Amino acid sequence: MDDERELLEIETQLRATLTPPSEVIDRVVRRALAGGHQRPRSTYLQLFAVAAALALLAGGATVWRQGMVRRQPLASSMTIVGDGSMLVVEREDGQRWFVGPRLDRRAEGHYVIVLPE
Amino acid sequence: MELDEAVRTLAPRLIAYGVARTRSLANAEDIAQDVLLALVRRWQQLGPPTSPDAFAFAIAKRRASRVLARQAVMVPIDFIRGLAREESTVEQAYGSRVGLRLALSALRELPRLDREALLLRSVAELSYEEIASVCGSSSAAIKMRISRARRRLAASMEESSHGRRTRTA
Repeated sequence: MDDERELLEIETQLRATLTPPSEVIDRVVRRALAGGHQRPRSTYLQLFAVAAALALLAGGATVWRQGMVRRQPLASSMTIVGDGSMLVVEREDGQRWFVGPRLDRRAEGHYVIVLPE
Repeated sequence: MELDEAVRTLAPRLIAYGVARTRSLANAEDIAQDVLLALVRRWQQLGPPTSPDAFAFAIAKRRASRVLARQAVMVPIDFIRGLAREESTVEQAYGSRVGLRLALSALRELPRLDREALLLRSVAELSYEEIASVCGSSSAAIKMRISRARRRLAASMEESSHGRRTRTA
């Protein structure tokens, strides 16, 4: 029985020896109850690194998209006017194509595109 | 139990456990801080865990192991680079107490699993069942480990204090 009590005393002694300073306890409790608003510095660094990587990706994507848009041909509207067996196709910038039957073979359905010189 | 109360009762035990595991008050404070923040977030998002004590000390056990692994690698590097953390006067006074040094030395002599079980019982004040769940063992095995560790610790501390008395005389 005495032996058991002695062992328990050792535990009590150990607990008392390890009891931390009240300043440290207060600091830890205060920070914990602040609800985790104060993140460790390493978390801030990680967040900053992720944000920087995302910003770089977003910037790269924007530049790439702008390049793609510049390379795409502009859609232009055309007007087609029929005049007898001739068709006149006119583009927005004023360029014209005359589409008509070939002179040597006047069978229906045969047309040639005459490109302006 | 309310969150505030749980944090207040856990904080000193977590710091003491951290000191016993890492032998550094600064590391113990970091561990306790991380654990309590995890507990607060868990509590706010999903409600209180079934056993806040077991929840907290399961995390503390993992964090302490990680700190010890990091220490093994970083301490020589920090020493060479002169980056060893400077502690405040309060922390220096705490760390330089003879009783604490003796207790830490005596604990160090215990087998790792026995020491872990004893700390979770004596310092963390967990039940045998909670210790078994944290350590992934059975309650019977934990009881045996704690009993053995208590005897060895008592012998070791007795021996140390006797040696100290002899040297002082």
